[in-house]
Amino acid sequence: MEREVADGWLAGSLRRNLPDAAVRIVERVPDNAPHDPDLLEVVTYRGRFMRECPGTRHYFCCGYRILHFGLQCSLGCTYCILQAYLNNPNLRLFGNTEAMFAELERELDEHPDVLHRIGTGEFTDSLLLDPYTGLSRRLVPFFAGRGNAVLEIKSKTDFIGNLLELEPGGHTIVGWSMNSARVRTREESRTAPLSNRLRAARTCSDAGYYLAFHFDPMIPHANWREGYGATLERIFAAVDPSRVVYVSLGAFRFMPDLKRTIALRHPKSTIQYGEFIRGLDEKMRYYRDIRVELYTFMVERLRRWDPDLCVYLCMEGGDVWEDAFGFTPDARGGLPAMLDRAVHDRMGVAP
Amino acid sequence: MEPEYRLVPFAEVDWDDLRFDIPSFVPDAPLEDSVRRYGCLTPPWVLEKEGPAYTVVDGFKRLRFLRDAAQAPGVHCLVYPKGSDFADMALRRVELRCTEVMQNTAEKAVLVRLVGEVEPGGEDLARLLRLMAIPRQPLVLADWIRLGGSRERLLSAAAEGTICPKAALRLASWSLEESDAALDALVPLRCSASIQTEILDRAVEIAAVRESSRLNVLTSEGVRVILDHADLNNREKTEALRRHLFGLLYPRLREREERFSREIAEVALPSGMRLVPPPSFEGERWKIELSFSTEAELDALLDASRDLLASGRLRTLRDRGTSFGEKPVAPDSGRRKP
Repeated sequence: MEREVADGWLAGSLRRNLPDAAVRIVERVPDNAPHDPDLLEVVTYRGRFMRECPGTRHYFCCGYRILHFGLQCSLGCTYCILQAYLNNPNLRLFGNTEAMFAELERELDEHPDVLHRIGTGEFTDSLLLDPYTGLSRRLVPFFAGRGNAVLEIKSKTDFIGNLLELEPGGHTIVGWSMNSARVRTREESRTAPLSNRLRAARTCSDAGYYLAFHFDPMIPHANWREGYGATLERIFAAVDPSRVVYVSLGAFRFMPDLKRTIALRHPKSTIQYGEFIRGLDEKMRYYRDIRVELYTFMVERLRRWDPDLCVYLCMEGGDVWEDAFGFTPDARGGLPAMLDRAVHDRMGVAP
Repeated sequence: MEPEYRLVPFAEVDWDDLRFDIPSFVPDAPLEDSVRRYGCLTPPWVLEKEGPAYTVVDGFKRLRFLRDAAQAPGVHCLVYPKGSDFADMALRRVELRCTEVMQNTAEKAVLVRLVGEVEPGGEDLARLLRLMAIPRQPLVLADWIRLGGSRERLLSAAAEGTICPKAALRLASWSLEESDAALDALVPLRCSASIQTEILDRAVEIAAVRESSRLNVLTSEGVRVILDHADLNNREKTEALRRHLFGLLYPRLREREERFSREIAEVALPSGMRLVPPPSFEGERWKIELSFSTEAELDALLDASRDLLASGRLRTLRDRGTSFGEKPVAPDSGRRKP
């Protein structure tokens, strides 16, 4: 822990919930430290806590905003982009929590007429350390009192203990990253099994939370239709569609450098090989017809479940949208507007 | 005129006599470092002249480094006697320079392995890697050490340059059969380094995607037919092999490219006009290229472009180029409810 935040709220939570952990106070936690899986760094964050989703102009972006509370993840998914963040290889939390909430409040106050869709799961898993940090105990009540904002928690865990003791007030979505059972077993083996995630989703829904599901990254494999179809069926059986605000779909894509990293760190994985072409954003992505095939299959199944459900593509172009949905986001006022409407229609939240 | 091995005092060297000097025009820090550590590992040559004085024939830099280090009054040299033939001396000097050993990939690998075994992780290894411009990263080092211990066929190919360093390093970790199959394919083709690595990368990826082995890919019927083709030269075989491997790795994209070629042929665009889809059909940015010599030709091509647009054929081509199957009917998803 950096001395500056060693007496802060987050540090206090961690000490309370991890009483046996050895704590070392330092002036500054260095960047570029060697990877240590037993280490959790608590630092003072000096950048902006509120960030825009790192979309690019070439593809449609959801306009989601990120509340940046920490970095890295120990779930070790083979496809994870965080593996490329070599400067900060260790789990890291930002201990200046009050500064984060102050910036968040300022941001929401400055734009009261805008619906703020804010998530915490971009640079780490939202719930991975929640049993120890208790951050959700502050975030969920904060958003419950804000008329112009919703919080989306994204996770591949089932660590929902804190959530169940809170009153979300209709302003928190709990989203789970989902995949086929084969991808879950082979590529994200340290995450919660799909059945646990769905049980957690059902429990959260019963506790007043709204839900989202993110099929990202989708990875075509032998019998992928059966695999993804089975996961969809399990979702359909587990939760009430009216509690699901949206479902996103995104085929696996990665910066070219990640290819070597995956080969070195996960020699048994072959996800980096296939019909990958260089996308307009310089990321490697499946040849478009493969993506369209994945999406078309999912969209058709999801429509059968709930024709009104907002299903969207993460970082895709107009031609792929057209082929998968029969329209482009522009025809519906843009992708952010589509998601705002989904929040309004399902959650009744609008500024 | 046999030379004699004896101590030459620095004070008796004529430093201004540069008749045999072959300057390299660049500083040589590694050599300086080496001389500081070990002195002269092979003796410099000097020519005795009136004096007592000596003309330096070979070893200018080393002698200067030693003189400047001032750790000894002189150094043992091969001393050619007074009256030695200048032309003969000059030729010997050139001969020596031309036959100085420049390490090839295989030699480098063997050297790295040798030092790596004698002093793994030591400063000598680090220095050697610097000298040979090999990164000190553990994985890179492991590749070089592995190559250094490879069998003769691979090392010979690396030494001769028929296999580029990157390909040789990669093959060092392959099985004997896989490596042989790769050498059987690459050595006769004599293709560039980048193409060699592309072919190996493709073999790895195809094997991974098809849950097969690199050996199966490289010895497959399709590959053998190309390599054994009697009517193709090496360049043509290389291109055919690249196309073949591309098709194995990108079956859907290749099928789309071939279909697009057929469709374009059916449309029969006027000569001088070319319709170019987005690279890999990614995105919506298409191009029409017009080639012309005269304004009249350009005018005709512009007319043809307009005709193409008006006829709807362009739309058909683009739709076929970017659509997958039947278009779905637009759902209500995302629309505001009344």
